[in-house]
Amino acid sequence: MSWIRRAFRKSQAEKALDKELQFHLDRQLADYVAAGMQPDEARHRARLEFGTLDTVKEEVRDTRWQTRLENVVRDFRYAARSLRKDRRFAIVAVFALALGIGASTVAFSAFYNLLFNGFAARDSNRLVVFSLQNAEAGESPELNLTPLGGSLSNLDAIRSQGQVFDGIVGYHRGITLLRDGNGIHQVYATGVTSNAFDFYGVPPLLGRRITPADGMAKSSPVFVMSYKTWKGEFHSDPAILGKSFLADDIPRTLVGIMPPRFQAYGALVQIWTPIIGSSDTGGVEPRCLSTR
Amino acid sequence: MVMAEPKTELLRGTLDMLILKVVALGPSHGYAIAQRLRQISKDFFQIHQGSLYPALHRLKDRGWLQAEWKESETGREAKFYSLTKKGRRQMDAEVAEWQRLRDAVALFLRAPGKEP
Repeated sequence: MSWIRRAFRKSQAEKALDKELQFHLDRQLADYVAAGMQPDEARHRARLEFGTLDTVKEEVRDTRWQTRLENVVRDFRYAARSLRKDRRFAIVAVFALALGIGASTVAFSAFYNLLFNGFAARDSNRLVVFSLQNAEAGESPELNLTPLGGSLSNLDAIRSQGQVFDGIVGYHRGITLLRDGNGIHQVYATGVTSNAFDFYGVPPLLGRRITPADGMAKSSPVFVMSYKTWKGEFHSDPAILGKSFLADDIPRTLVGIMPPRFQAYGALVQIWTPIIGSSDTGGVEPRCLSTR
Repeated sequence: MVMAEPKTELLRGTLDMLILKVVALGPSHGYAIAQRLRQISKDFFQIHQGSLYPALHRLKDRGWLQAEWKESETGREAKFYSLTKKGRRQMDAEVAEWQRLRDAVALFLRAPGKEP
């Protein structure tokens, strides 16, 4: 980049050019005077012959650019020619570059995810996922592997029975049509039990998270949006906080934006909504936090 | 002002060759180069500064000339151009090329035309 800066700055070269041209002009003048011309006339004539200094300087500058451009073009031609001449070398060079770029990309993204972008949740090393299975289908082991959808009352039952888990949350996935004054967005929506955001413990980027109060039957419907959706579809507009949307024709207020790291229930999830009520909602998959 | 503005590629190349030839006589500054071009060609080539200085800088950028600030004959500092090894080779090549062209053209000019 430094050659660009050099080209725009009034550089050493530019000053030297001034000096060089001024010398020429002065010598011309001196010669005319020596030949017997009146100083005024000599100055006039020298000026006239020289043309404007700026024009000459402009033309010199142009040649500098031209030469640079010529050099670049020549270098490219030379490179292309030698690559074409030696196919084997070309293939090896391309392969080496591809390998290097690929390896550093892989290493960088692995390290980035491991060190800086780990699973964003409090006590993530204690998170467990369990699935409910039908013990009576024991005759055919394949069936046994299919997890059953739980219901919120199942979760309540597990929660009340034991000291096995510190916390337990449930969720279900779906696709929702989100409508505002400007248009319709089809989004991946995940319904979560209202304790889910406290469970993961990740602070919101803007606004607030879903709280247990949002799970009450009488509370007004709210939702929380992912960073990617906020940035991609709403141009990171902070003014949309508190705005009301129609989500599958139910008016819902946007109360918060989660940070990019927060990807509970998958990177695709675009909005989270609280599941209303404490029991008898079918098809909920559990996530649990084991006790210490 | 016979050759005020070199118009074609041929003339531009020729100007380059003439400058190299003049500088080959010894290191000189722009003004002296213009003077010598005029003197040697008996006033045929009067090079405008707008052509001379771009040409000098172009030849220097190509590595055919090198420049150095030195005290001039009047005691004032001036930029002196001198020929590099690469420049000398280039000059020889251009002179040879020009002579071949001249000889070829001369063959046509010498050919007897049909009398009207």
